Amino acid sequence: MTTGFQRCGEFALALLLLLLCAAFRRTLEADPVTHMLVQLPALAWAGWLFAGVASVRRPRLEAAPTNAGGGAGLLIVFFGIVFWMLPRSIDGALTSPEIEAAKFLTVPFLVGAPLRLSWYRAHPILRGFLLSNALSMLGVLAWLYMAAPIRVCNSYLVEDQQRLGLAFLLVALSLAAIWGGRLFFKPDGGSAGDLLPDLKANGSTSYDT
Amino acid sequence: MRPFLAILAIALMGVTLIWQVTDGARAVTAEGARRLHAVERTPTMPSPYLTDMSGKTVRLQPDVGGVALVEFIYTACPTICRYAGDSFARLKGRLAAAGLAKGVRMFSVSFDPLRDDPMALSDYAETHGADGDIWKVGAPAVTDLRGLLSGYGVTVIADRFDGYEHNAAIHLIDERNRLVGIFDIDDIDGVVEAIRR
Repeated sequence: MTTGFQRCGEFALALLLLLLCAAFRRTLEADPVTHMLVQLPALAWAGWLFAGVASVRRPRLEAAPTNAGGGAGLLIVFFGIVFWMLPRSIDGALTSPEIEAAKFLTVPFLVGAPLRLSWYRAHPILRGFLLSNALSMLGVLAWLYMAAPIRVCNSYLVEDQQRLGLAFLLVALSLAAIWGGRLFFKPDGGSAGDLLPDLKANGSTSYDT
Repeated sequence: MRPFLAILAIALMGVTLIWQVTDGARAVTAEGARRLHAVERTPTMPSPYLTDMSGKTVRLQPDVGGVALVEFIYTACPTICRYAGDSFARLKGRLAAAGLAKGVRMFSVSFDPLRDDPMALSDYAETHGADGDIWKVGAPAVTDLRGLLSGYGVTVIADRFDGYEHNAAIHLIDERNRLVGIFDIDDIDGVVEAIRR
């Protein structure tokens, strides 16, 4: 069980993440690598933490029957990620204050938070499937950004796009090494799908059956 | 609500959202959307005055009953604008050969009016064979620049070599000053075909 003190800490960290993402908006967004691989994950992480805190205050959140098996929540996450993977959305965030504001709301609350509320309810095979798909998707994007003759964002240089592709490739390889490594070196350290870092709350490790 | 219904509702909403924001899965990039909207919505473009290579003031618009081809450049550009200039030169030749040159105006518009004075513009015109009649090279007033670029949807960003990168393209403007087509710089056939119609 996590303590109230830890909860406070997580809530403060989530707020801090949101604040830092907003305060260093220009700097982070000047480069697509920090925009995609620092700011967006940090916003999602903030949402993840918020959901953890919220589900302590309202335990029914985590056990909502509507989200049995985590399917509904993970589908929200899926569409949230698809939307923010469209180069159009990224360009839009840079040129339109409305889309930028939408990013600060939707990435925490339609990606990070539902992921936190659904991930551990999902069947390990579903989790494994999603993780492997995330890896292959990163790989395809990496290849696309490095090799495609088109410029996907009007707001970023072609050179930056290629660097982003390389960064995606490195992230994909690192995640593959970490996730794959855990299977080999910690075979009893959890079920196959239970491979996210130890951010579990309430000791709730069992998935819905 | 049952999980199945929730999943169904979310799937419907999600697909609708993605369908909406990609113009029916036809444009995933801002540039793709810009080109699609040009064809489908034919938005009216700003037509500011330009200072051309001979120092004269010209309006960025087609002649009565004609069309205009507009591209954005900056004369200090080492790469894509050189290429754009060559492409415009070939295009001018092709239009003349096809008997379509009459009624067509070509504009190479600088988005760097501070550096592109008439001298720089005329150097550029000379290099690429812009005659100043059918094909003019000009720069807007600094105060008109922002509105002009945002009207066309052209995003100019600084590169790391004291220059710029932008979504370079050839814009086709009809007689009512509406943007009716956007073509890749090297899509000369596409432009000629569109003008013929």
